[in-house]
Amino acid sequence: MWAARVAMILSTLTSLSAHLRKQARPRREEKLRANHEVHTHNAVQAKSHTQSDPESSIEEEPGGLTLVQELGEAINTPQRLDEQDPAAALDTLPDDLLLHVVVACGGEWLIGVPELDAVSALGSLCKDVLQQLSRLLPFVYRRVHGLTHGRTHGPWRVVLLFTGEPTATVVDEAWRGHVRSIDARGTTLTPAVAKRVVPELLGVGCSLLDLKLEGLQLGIGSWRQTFGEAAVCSTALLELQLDDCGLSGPLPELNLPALQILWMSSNQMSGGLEPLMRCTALQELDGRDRRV
Amino acid sequence: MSHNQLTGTLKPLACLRALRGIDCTNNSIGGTLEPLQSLAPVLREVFLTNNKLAGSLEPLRGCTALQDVVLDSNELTGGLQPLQGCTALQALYLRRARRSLTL
Repeated sequence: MWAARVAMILSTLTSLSAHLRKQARPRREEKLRANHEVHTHNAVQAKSHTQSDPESSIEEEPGGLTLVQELGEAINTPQRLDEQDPAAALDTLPDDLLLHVVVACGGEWLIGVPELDAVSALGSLCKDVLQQLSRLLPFVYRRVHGLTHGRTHGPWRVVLLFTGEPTATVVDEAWRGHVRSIDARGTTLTPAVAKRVVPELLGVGCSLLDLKLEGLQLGIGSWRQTFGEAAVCSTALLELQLDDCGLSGPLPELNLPALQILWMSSNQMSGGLEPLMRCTALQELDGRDRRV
Repeated sequence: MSHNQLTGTLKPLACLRALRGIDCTNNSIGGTLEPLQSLAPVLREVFLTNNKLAGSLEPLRGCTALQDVVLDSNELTGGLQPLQGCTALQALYLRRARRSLTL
């Protein structure tokens, strides 16, 4: 049963890929042109967005795992697809199957959530597909180095993977659920923002999925001195990297039931491993400096 | 957790049943390898060089998924027989172990 479904999806994707490439090429050219115009005429940028308030288009999610759960629902009975005209076949796809096609378009961050660039051409296949996608609003992710990008991209719910200095704005956006990944390795963290890391990124109700602070020179200090006393208890966090951050003293109590990867090497942490006991999903405890 | 000043034992890790890789190299963790027994089905990588672990390799007997075992500079004793069933093993480092560790 599953094999037949997978084969059908693969078959559809194969025939779609050429079609999507054709669709994507002019869109990329359009994008490049649009970017060029943005540099020369800022006013053009505002007009290029179809919705005026990008903030309102992002729906809040209680936890990061729901991204996958929502996309992982069972699929219905497959339908025969017209391989000669994949766009025509797509407009008759049931919702769940279309979501599988979206997911199958790829992405390497989180299983079940594709990258925006990989799926954006789907929205331009035909009006029916666009309407169906607009109704479904599938989750996609986009890698960004700043938060000036619009977060509305047609029929997609875009979550951001941020790389760069974790400023107060980044923390704000992560708390709101717009930023789901922060890679701040090798940057700096002000003491004021450091005090917000636990309550707004690693605390109760936070939806951040991974936080990488490797190499941040926080100055030699205990966890409490650096990050404060708030409880580390996110139910969404999957990965935490705090290598070489100058942390000393005992490990904090980590109540992170979804955490899979924890890196804290090259600090001056002391005491026992007991604070890790509630990280029950942990798969990898430090992956640095391996010799084999 | 490598290159820290951690003490205590591996016992707190025994309840982390999804753990596939442990790297606590260069700490001061003592006790035995016994807590790793409960991780046997999934444990693939053990990096515990330069700690204060004692006892034998017996707790690793059922860890058939093990691929890398690096236990240099500890105080382990006994033989390598417990690793006979570790057919996925690709690397084994036991340098500077106690002399009573027999091959």
